[in-house]
Amino acid sequence: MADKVICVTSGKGGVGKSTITGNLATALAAKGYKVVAIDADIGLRNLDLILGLENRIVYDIVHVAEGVCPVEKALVKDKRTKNLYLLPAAQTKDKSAIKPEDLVSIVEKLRDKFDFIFIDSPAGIEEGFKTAVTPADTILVVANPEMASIRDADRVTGLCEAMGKPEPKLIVNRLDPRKVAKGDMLDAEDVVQILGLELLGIVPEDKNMVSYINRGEPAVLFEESIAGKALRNVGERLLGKEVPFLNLEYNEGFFEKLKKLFGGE
Amino acid sequence: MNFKLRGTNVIGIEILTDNKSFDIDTLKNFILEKRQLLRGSRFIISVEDRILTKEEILELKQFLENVEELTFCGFKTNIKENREICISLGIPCDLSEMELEKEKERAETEEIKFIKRTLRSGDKVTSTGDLVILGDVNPGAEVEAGGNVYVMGSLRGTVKAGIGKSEAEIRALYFEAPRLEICNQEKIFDRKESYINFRARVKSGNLKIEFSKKGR
Repeated sequence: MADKVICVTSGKGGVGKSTITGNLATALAAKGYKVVAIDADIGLRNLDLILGLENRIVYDIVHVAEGVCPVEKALVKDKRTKNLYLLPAAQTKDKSAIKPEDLVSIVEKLRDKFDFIFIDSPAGIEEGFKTAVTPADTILVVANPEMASIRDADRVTGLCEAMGKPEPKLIVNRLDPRKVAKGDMLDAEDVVQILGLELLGIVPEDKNMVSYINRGEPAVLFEESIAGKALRNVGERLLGKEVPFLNLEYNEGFFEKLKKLFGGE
Repeated sequence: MNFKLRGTNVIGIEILTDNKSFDIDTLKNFILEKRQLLRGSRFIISVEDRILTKEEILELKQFLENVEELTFCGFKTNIKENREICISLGIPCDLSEMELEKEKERAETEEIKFIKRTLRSGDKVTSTGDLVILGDVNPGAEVEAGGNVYVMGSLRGTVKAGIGKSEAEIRALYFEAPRLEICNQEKIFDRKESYINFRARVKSGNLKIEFSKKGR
């Protein structure tokens, strides 16, 4: 498979890069593919929390880059999801601890052993971002439906193109259909219109997401989570399948209609 | 000496003076030299980009009156001061047309640039002349041009056109930018203000906005 190494990036922080990386990796591993998730956000390690693996880290990516241990030894195996591995970031170092060449050589060592390699990019457009993007075959740009995030995603897309990478694909995250219906939030269509990228998925806002992250259980493992369902669909699309987008039209409830009728908010 | 003669369709003959080698004595010699040509027809003297003194104009006037068979009809200039002096002395003086100035504004070294991609946030494109963008200009992208800017797509970034010029225009199929600048004139737009078939231009000092439809 050509699109084996997938980098998730956004430019802006806090839009859900790590959450999406963790969930996509889990979704594909749950389907039986052998997946490794690499946390390239050195110094601000988060991916281990999302996957619930924080208490099992012994070695990290900087140890591998420095030659302290082989890469296989640093991989953390997920207990719940078979076939899922994590290569954690170092928390005590910073972005300068690994160079793009280091990550490329790590990815090359893992390439033959795994079906998918996810790289969780740090926020920003500095060296950490460049390191994370360099080994990638496919780039996923995450954007929230708000102007600041769109502008940063746009900048990142331009940088990826300048680095000679193929055109990134877009994931619109944290879309609130209710706010869209009210006109308080941009529609996914608006985001696509500005960025001009292929839309890989729309992930709706899910109030339970925080608790999934706090528990260290990826949302894709739960049938009832709407965000989890959207992310499972993104996983399917990464496999090349055509999956229709979730219907995120907001339907007003009876009480809200009644409230509107009486002029209340 | 770089003076030239030119036929005009109204007056007859125009003497085009050269700014660098301009000198009253040289001009006198030139007229005497071309006397055969100028004889019998009306002519004017065109002085561009050079302020004449009252003495110079008077000297020329006296000289021309003393040469036989010449019909001097007045001056032509692009400088207001010259015209005021001439009129105060009772010599006719035309202001040269704006068209001439415009031609001069457009230097030969100016380029016309084509950009065949979408400009993303952080991109910056400049051109000494016109700029044609076959794509969008996204928020956070910057465009600067000495001439006109044409966007064959959505214009959402910041644009400066007509830098150092007195006339220029910006056109876009769709416009939703916060501000634009043409010939040092600024226009600020509200959030969510958008236009279809947008055109902004500066002509004779005024900024004018035209569009076929407001909104999406």
